[in-house]
Amino acid sequence: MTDHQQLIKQLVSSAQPVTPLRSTGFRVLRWLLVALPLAALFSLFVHRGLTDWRQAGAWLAALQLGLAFLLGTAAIWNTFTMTIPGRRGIHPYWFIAGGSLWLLLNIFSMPGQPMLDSEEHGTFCYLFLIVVSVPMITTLLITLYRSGGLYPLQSLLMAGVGVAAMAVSLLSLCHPVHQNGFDLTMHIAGVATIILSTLLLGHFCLRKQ
Amino acid sequence: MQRKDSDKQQWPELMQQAQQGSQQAYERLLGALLPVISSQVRKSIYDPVLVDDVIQEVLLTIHRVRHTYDANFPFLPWLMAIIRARCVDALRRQGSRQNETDDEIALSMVVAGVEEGEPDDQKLHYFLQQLPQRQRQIVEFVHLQEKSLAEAALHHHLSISAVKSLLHRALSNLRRIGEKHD
Repeated sequence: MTDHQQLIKQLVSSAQPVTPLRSTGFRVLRWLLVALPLAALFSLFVHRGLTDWRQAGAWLAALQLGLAFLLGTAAIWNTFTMTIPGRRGIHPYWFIAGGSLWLLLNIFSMPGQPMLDSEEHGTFCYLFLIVVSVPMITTLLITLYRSGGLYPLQSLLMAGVGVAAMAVSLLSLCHPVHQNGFDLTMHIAGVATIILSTLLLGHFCLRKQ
Repeated sequence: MQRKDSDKQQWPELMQQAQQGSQQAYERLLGALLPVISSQVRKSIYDPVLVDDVIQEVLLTIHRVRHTYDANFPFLPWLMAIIRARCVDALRRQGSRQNETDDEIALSMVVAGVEEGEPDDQKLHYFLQQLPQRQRQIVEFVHLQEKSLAEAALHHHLSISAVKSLLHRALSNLRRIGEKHD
């Protein structure tokens, strides 16, 4: 017990005033306002034409965009919430359900006839997702590092899901409303790469805390 | 009538004062939390040595994340989540704990052996100089100045796991340096 008392004395003597964390909603909004413009800026490196929303089936693409943005915002909310001890975020089942719905909408948006230049297109989508995710992963990890807290694996997983969903929603703004199997495969590969990268980078950057 | 610090109703207020920089409130709070932390840790961990380590890790974590406490939310779930997280970490590490303990003992023997076997400090100094700066600082702090892992963690702004990891790597390097020297 004496050792513990001694440690308490050391902790007390080194204690400085601290600023309590802002609300999760404020932090999510602040991150969105910083990360999304940066991601849009990075997308200029891999720029191509914007989505033609007048095409038939555009409503499906709009639905995918809305769902991806909603999933992304919810996942970022969860990331920030789960780093605070004792707080419970949105249950993972909702993300599994949302992700499944997004996948279903993607499958529905595949036309019957094969598309031209599909391989080149799919590779471009993968590159786009990776490029726009770079500033989002960086700003998110910096925010997490600066805000402190506990970093369970689930919160980093949520961070990866959030960034991937935001990257997908940005891709929806400059993507044909229709896609094929290879294209969808490359989207999923991009999402998996972003989640894995966030997990690994997060583990590496935050483990020293 | 002044209430006792063990009164749970007082903890949120004490924490708020601690967040504002009141060292007196912080000391009262940590002192009041210590028996609770201790009893909760003992429910999950049976190794008495490990229990003390985990209690110190919990105290260090509370200190590190005290800014995450929000007075609009209850205090106890915040505290319990920290205790649970540190217990889970400790139990996860328990599998490799034996190896770490062996390493710590071996490292002590290396340092002690050099100290006893050599009349001069030159050999010890030579060995330590071969280590990277961070590892050398940790070895000197823990094994030569005989400080605890928790103290080393606090002093070097690291987690206890990171201190153990540095000690483990220092031992590997000292072994390699020793073999070359022989």
